[in-house]
Amino acid sequence: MTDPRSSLRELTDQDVVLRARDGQEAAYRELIRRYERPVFSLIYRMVRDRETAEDLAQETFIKVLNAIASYRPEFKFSSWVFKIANNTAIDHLRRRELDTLSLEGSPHASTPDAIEATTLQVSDGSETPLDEVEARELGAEIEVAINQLRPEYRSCILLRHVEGRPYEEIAEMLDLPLGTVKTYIHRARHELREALGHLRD
Amino acid sequence: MSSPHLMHLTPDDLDALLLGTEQERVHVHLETCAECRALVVADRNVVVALESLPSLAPRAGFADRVMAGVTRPVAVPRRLPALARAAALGLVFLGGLAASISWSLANEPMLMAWREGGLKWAEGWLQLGLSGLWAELSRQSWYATVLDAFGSPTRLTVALAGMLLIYGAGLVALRRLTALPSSGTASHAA
Repeated sequence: MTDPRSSLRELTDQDVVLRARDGQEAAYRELIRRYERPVFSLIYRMVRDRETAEDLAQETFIKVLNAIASYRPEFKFSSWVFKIANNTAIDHLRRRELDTLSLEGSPHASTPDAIEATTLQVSDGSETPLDEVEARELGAEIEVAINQLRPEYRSCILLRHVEGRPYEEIAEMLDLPLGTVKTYIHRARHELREALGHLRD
Repeated sequence: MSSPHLMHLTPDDLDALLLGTEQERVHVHLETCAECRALVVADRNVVVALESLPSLAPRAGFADRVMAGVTRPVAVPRRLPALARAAALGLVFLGGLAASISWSLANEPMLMAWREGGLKWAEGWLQLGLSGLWAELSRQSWYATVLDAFGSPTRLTVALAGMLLIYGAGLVALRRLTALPSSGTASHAA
C-alpha cells in the first residue's frame, strides 16, 4: 500500500494546499517539511538566535497554516510563506531593537542629522562563546558580515542569493518598489565585499 | 565626453555579469581596468559565499510543535460542481422518463385494465361518501331550520347578499391590517 506522505511529495505546492484546505493533516505536515529549513534559515540569519528563530519559525507556520483558507492560488505559495516569515522576523527585530543596524544609517534618512541619528553601532560585543563557535560552524565570516547588515538589506540579500528568488518576487514579498529592492541588494553586496575584503589578502 | 568603455562598472553591470547578460563594453572595460576586475572578483566571492551557506534545520519535533498550534478545518466530503450535479440530475430524470414510456408502451393492455378498475373504484367510493354525508347532514337538528331559511328565492338572495357583504368587509379589514405604514405616518410618529 502506498504511503500517503510519499504520494504528497510528488504534488505541487498548490495541490498540497488544496488537500490541507480539506483538513488533511498529512498535507499540513508536507508543507512544513518543504519549508521548515528555508524558513528557519532565513529567520535564524535575521535574528541570530536559535531559540528565537525556532519560536518565530513556529509562529510563521502557525500563521500560514491557520490562514490556509485565505491563500490565493494565483500567487506562489513559497512567496507567501517567505513574506510572512520575513514580516515576523522584522516585527521581532523592531520590537527588540536589536543592535545590528547598518553603519550607513537609515536609507530613508535624507539629512546628515537624520543619517547620524539612525546610524548605530555594529555590535555591542555581547556574543557568547557559544555564539562564536556556532558562527564558525555556519561559515563564520559571511554569517557575521550578514549579521552586520541592516535588517532590510539582510532580508533582500538572503532572499536573492541564498533562496535564489528573482528581484520581482522579492519586491512583491516585501511590498517594496523594484528599484528599492535592487538598491538594497547592491548596497548589501557592497557592505559584504567591504566586510570580506580582508579574505582576498 | 568619456567613452562608455572607460566608465567604471555600475551595480547593474555587476548584476548582469552574475547572470551572464553583460554587454560587450563591460568586457572591453575590464581588460583595461584592474580596479573593476578586483570588484568583479570580490562580488563573485560574496555571491558564492552566500550561495554556499548551509540550510539550517530547526530541532526535531518542529512539525509536531507547529501542528499543536494549528486549527484544522473539519474534513468535508468533496461536492460535485454545480454543473455536474445539474447534469447528473437531468440524466436521472430523462432516464426515468424514457424507462417509464417504454414500459407503458410494452404493457398497454395492463395499464388500461388498471385504469378501468381504478376509475370504478374511485366512483364507488365517491358515491358512498356523498350519500353518507347527505344522510348525516339530514339527521342534524339544525338541518330543517337552515333548509327553511333558504326555502324561497327571496330568502336565498338576501342570505347570499349578506354573505357577500361579510366577505367584502373581511377583505377590506385584512387589507388594512397587512398594509405597510406610509412614510408620512412614520415621520409623523418620529
